[in-house]
Amino acid sequence: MTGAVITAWSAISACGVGAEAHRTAYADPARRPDPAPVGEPVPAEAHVAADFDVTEALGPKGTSSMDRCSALAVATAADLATVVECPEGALRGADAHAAQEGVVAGVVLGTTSGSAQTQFDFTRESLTRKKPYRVNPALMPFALMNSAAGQTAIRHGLTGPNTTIAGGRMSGLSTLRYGSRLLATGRADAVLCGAVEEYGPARQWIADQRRADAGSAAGRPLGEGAAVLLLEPAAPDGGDHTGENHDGENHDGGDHTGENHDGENHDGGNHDGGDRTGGQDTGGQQHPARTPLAELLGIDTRVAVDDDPAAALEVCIRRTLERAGVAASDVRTVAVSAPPGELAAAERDALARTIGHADVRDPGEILGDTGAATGPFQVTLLLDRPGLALATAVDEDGNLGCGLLRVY
Amino acid sequence: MQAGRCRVVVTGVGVVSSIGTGADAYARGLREGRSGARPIEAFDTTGFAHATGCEVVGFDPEPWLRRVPVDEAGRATQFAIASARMALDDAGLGEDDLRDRRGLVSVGTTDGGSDDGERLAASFVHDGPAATDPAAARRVPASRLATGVARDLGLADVEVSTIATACAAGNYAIGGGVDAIRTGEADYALCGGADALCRMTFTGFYRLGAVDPDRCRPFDVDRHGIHTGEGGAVLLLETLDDAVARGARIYAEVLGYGLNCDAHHQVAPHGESVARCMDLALADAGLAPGEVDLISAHGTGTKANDVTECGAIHSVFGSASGEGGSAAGEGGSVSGDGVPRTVSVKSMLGHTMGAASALAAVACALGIDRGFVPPTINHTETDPECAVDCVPNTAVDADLRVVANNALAFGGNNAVLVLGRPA
Repeated sequence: MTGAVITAWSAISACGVGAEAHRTAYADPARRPDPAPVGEPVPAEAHVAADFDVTEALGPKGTSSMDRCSALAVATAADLATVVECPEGALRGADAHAAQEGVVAGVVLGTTSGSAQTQFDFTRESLTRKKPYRVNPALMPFALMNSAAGQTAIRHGLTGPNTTIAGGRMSGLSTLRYGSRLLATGRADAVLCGAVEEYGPARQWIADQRRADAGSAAGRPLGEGAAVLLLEPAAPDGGDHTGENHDGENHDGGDHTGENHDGENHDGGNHDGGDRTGGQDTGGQQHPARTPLAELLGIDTRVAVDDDPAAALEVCIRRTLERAGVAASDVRTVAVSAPPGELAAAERDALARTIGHADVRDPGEILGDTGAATGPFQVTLLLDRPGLALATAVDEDGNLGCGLLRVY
Repeated sequence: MQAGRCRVVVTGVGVVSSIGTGADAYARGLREGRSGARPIEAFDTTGFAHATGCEVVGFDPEPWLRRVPVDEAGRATQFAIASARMALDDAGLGEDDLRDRRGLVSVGTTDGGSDDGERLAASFVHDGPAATDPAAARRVPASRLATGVARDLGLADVEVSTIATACAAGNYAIGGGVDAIRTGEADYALCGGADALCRMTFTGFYRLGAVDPDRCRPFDVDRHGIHTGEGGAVLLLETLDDAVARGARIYAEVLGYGLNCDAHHQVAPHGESVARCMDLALADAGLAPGEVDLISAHGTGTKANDVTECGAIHSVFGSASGEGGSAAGEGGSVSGDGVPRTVSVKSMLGHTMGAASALAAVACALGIDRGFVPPTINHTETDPECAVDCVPNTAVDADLRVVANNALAFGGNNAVLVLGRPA
């Protein structure tokens, strides 16, 4: 048990802006945008968040040099920051003293390398101008990997721990694990946990080189986006959440496999539902404590030091289920990270050996390869179906793992 | 320290730095007040009016990298692996001793694989998109720093994370290790920071007017900024019980740490928030300000940082020092207004970015263990706006019981670590 629950989420990607746009696209394949051609200097097809314009989303002030990574993170977090700050949204785990002093909200964001485009542009300016230091000084802080988390804090006034984890495809699990530990140790009352990956020619060019050398086929198109989950401590009494049956069985007989939900009853039907965030609308003031969407039962990670990622992931899955005291047969839904090349097969192999019966979801099919953001997007794909759900992740550098959720 | 919480200690340190590699050489460098500054050779500095940095010279990765091929590891990853191996050796542990224990590997960094990234960018600028270097492209993701350590040591059952919280990343990584041990999720942690000299970082600070053309002189009235540096530092953390049980040498106990975010400005530190972070760290350690004998400051040597940080230090320690126990202690380590000695090892090492607070944390541990305060070198006249005893130019012997290690970063990321003499 991590003691943490997910109470809301938001996202921006090629599917649109906000949780609702994503639920719609998840539910209806016809509403999923195809990858679009992107032109020079590095031609490709990609799932770009075309609806997202930095200045339009955040206004002109302070955004003229802002990278898309930071802007996507800031805009995605906006919904959740509003929820956290809402005075009626007293936190379930917080005591009266903490509530009086205000909620300490942290930000934990994953990345691969930050904004590759800003780093590239900065270096190009330095190399092509008359003097190597005639660069745009405003670019400098946006070139750093912690820019997205720092900007998110600045724009939303979040003064808690502010951590950037360069986890690549493991970012989802790494940030959830780190974030739940911040809650467990009392360093934060709530944590915005997520990851962001921008699209740009610099990222495409580096990805092309990595793929070319790995001998793998072109692979799926790159995608861009950010997904952020609001992580809070579970209610001390074990919760009065909506899901009565915690064993993942017989929950309602319904089959929320993705074809028939419409965004109204996406999260079990017991919520007020609705606004742009995935969580309950706290604006109603009827239910000051947010209803959890899912409980984070456990996360386990390993490094495939012997170059057998499937075996290592299998160990993680078995150990996670064992620690949570649940049977593999009770896991109904799985979301995969689908890394490029042979690693995707390793991930599927480990699942076939452990949870072969489960319904498998793959955010990459909908969003393209969103790199570091894949992890939190995986979680968002699991939240429509009550019961036990597992997210797996395998990063190209050998780090891998899984996270077990009880979806309400 | 809080009752019922497991106590975490430092039993091994590993260092790659411009003033000495390995615990002993590094300690000697600190004690002698050695300067790592020299003309930068890591990249082409043509066109810059001045380019002094603190480069690690003569580092050979071959002896350290035993499983990860050298050409698959960027320079920062090499520093991280070498530092981790040294820390393990220094702790009297072998890889096999850790094989069956649950661990955490966490490496802080600012630039990660950006040195490879900017070389790729340069080839694109010169030769267009047809230019390729797949090996370099694979070295770019920063995750490789921490994963590289685990892979090279053959540690499978580990939680690994590369913490990219810019110039406070080292303290962030160490704090993450402390919490994983405190919560019982890890038996040991290898954590610290690593960065390689990077043209982009140098150019950025240069453009901001924050690189001192002459020498790095924190707290000095004539200071003009940082020198960019490079290096790595890793600490081996374990529980006090485990360390005592195996008869390990204990450098220091991690008494606590604090994290917060200014949420104010991208590059300008916010004094109140920095003070709040020191308060958080002291609260986590269960200490009063007056119990702190020494502050290892972020102390970059820029005008803004040093004034703001010293202001925060005065606000935390200046008025409250009388409450503590050691103001008149053996170390005799406080100035007239109760503020403890406040030093900057960046005067010697330059600003090693994500490695900086890890290198400083090791300096604190060595200072506690060996009874000395590292000096702030290149010092002529203390800026009255800083008004701290920065132990100018020459190390002093001191009996250090509690040391606070500050780290600030762009983005407003603050992290303060508190180390103490093992009880």
